[in-house]
Amino acid sequence: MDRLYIKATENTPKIDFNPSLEQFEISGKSIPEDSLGFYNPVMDWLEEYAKSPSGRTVFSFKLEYFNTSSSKVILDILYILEKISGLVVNWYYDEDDEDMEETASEFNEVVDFEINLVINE
Amino acid sequence: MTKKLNVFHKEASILEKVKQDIGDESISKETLEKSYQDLASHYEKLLKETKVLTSVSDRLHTKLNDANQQLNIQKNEIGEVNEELQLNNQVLQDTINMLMKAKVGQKASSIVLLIAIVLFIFSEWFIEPIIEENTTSEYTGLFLKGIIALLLKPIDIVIERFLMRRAMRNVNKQP
Repeated sequence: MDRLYIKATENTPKIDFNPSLEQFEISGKSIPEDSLGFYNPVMDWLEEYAKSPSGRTVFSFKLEYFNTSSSKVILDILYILEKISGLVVNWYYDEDDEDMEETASEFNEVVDFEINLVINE
Repeated sequence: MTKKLNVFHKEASILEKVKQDIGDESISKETLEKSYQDLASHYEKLLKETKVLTSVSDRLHTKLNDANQQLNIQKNEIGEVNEELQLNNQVLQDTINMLMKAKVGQKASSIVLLIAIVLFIFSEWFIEPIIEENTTSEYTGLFLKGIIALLLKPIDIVIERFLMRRAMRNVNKQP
């Protein structure tokens, strides 16, 4: 599959899904007015990728802040990721950002794979 | 027109499907039961998600609120520093003005002194002989020198004002 790259804006995160490198990343701030409008193509791409994924998929969340509707979409993305084998999900957060750490832990409770908590360097 | 979807569109379509099944009299009891089980299962999942999303949302709102409070504190601190800066700036400006005035006053005094010397020499060499030739009064020369001495202060004021205006123009021209 072709790489999916969406540049970050003031309200939307950077999306960089690169199957050839087996690296998938959502990073930045996610506060779009129309969360589904922004994430629908992303989820469609992921659904398609989930049908024939690479041997290894390293998915990284590097989010600074997101609104409520984005958190619902993130949950939907996590459900899509459940279908992928050879999956590693990393959730990056700042050392002093307990909120982001706890948020990842809560997402971890509703999915059937382990979300690795990684402190930003 | 395409209806704009929201993030809960999947959940809404599940609910719609079950509502249709309930309203369909031709549907069998077994199918309706299956539909009810699906609804209960989706409801359970949705409830779990809602708990997580509410908790996540509350936490992020707290984070936003904390950041906002921090911003307000910093805004107040910046305001206080700004006021202090303005005050110091005024003190500095007053000092600059005083220094400039002193410098201009000194310059004006030097010019007036030069004018006084020139006028004194002029009166001694050129005017005094003319007066001596044409008048018999010994006070005329003294009177003239008195006038010159009295004119020195107004000349000093005029020169000082002129130099001050020029200095202010130069200060305003600076970026």
